[in-house]
Amino acid sequence: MTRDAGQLTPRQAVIGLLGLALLFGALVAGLDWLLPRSERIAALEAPAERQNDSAPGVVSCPSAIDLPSQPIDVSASDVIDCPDVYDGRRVRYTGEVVNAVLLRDDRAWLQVNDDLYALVAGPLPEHRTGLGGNSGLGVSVPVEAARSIERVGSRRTRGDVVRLEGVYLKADPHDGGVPAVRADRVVVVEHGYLVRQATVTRRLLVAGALLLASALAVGAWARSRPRRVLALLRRR
Amino acid sequence: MLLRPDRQDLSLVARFSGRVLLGLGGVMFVPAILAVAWNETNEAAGFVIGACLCLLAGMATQLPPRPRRAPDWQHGMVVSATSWLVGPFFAAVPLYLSGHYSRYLDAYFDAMSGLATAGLAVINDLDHLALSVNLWRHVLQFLGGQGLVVMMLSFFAVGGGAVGMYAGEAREDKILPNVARTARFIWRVALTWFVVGVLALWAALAIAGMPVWQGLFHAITLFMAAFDTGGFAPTSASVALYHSWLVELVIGVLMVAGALSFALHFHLWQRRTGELVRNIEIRFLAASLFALFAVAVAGLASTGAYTSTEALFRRGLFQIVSAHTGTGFNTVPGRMFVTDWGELAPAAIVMAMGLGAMAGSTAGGIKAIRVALTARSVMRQLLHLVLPEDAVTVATFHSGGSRQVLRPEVARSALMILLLYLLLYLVGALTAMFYGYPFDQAMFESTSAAAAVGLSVGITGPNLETGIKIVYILQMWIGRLEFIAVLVFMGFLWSAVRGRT
Repeated sequence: MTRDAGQLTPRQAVIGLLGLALLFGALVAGLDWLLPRSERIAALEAPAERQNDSAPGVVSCPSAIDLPSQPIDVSASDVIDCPDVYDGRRVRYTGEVVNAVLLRDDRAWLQVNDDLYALVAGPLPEHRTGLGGNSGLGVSVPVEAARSIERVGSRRTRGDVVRLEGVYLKADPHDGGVPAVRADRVVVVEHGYLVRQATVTRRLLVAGALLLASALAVGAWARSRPRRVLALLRRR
Repeated sequence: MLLRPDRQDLSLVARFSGRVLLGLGGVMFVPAILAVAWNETNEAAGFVIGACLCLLAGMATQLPPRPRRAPDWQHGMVVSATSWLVGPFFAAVPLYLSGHYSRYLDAYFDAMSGLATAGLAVINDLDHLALSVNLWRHVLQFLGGQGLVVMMLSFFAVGGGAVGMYAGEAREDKILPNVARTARFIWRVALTWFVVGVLALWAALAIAGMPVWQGLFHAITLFMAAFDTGGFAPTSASVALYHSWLVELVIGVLMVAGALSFALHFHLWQRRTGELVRNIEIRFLAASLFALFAVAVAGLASTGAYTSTEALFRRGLFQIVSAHTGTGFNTVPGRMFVTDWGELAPAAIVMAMGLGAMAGSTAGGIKAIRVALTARSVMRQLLHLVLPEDAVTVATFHSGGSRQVLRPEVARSALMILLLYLLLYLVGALTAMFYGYPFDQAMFESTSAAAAVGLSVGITGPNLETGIKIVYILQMWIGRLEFIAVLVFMGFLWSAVRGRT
């Protein structure tokens, strides 16, 4: 860089940086106002992670000997955190079918989530409360059972909630070692539905106003520099 | 003592950073239109707001009179660093307005992660996210992988500072005589791969049982994440959702293609396939990929995580390729790296992530060329010790289509960046350890963030501690720009306050 007149004083530099920070802060506050109002679910406000008392990242598993011989109710985090304990055991697992049903010959693959959106609160667009990430398991089911599933969870849909029973395999040999439940019993316990989403009117109004302002700004720029616009168009 | 910048300098930096925002705003209209077509009204409004804010901010920077000076190399560096800080702020607008982020910092985290092609995410309920917003996350990876500044250079005449801006974005390849033509070539390569990759993925997904139109959406998003070594996936299950070796194979090929430098793509484009055998980076990558895969397989075999050979090779290979190319897709839940994979296999993944792929590719990390040159330099020093005192040794390497002499300053520069990366990995790990995470997990996650990979052992998520979140954002920014532009930017800020007049 070369020097000439018009250098900033340190004070101007600091004020400039603070001004920019304020501008960005104001922008974020404005965007907050454009969010749809959250229907807060008070009982679920506390972060859902860290359900055990141990240090972060550390899990404690039950002893395999203590587990009963009949099917055990498990969650996705149970079997992922303690794969050796549950490997090869008969389990019961409940969750929402999401994304897609992948049909293959005599069996089908489902992704079944058992997070708070799946089992307690419903999809986030319905209530607008952040309850953490998704957690789920891949499940292989007989094709006939898969055909009973009517809706899968997606942007606009809450998927069917299914209760299934089968064997948990931490490395399913039929799928090159992916952890999965090979289920033989599948029951739809709650049918899915379409999620209604209200239009946020103030957001539409702000978008319209900004679009108009941008169009005017681009128009003014094009009128003030017709030669540059023509040159730009020719280059394209 | 640094010289204090004047108004002309500020005007130049603002002007060219503003052009990056103009480009970003223009691109944002594409998902806006798609959101309207998909009947996602609120999201469409979010994209229009984001796009208009980009356009208005970008145009505001063009208002002051054109500076008398042309931008130089240093301006270019500062423009790159500034664009990569401000760009994610505006790119985060539609993400935040989707309502899937608890705070703006979270949306900024994901926008930075997307643009830096890291792939770590703190989004809530990804599986119920609007299609247009999901697509935008992947478009960010595509833009970031190709380069925000490359995008600007493709469309606007820049003049003297172009080389600085281009280099500031961690690109050193001089593929074609001028930077603008090189930038356009990079886009041509990416778009060609886009057509081929999307068609191949779409077919593989159809065979896997995915419904046709949903398959197309997944193919497009997966392509962007794979070729740009990003690692975001359209669903929370990542690639494990598909339960298909064919999908994994196609994605594997795309990840490797993304890990090759655009200079090498140029040689292949010119049908100079000999470069594949001679290039020092390719040789090093092939060797390290094989060695780390062997270590991972040995580790997995010793823990008994997989009993069948197919599982051992398929899981091990996919994860090592995903880590080494800096992509970050997984076919195994991330927690299982801790709970089922023992110590050795995750260590191999951390090493693969830390090393990264080729310089001048879309991948992050130290880069193969730097490790190879440092190793060669060490070998030369060792040779000096055993040879007679008056013996002259010259180390050479093949790169960029020709054999070059390894000069001491080149070796020093490679070693410096290598050490800076190791320091960056360590800083992130220490931060997570401060919050109580064990060293191995903290190191895994930190390396993943700084090397722009995206594999996670479960630390990163919507409830990630704010301190770690901020450090990871900085790591992704610094890692993506490979230090130099960030150091120049810091110097610029420092000189604005304490510089000599």
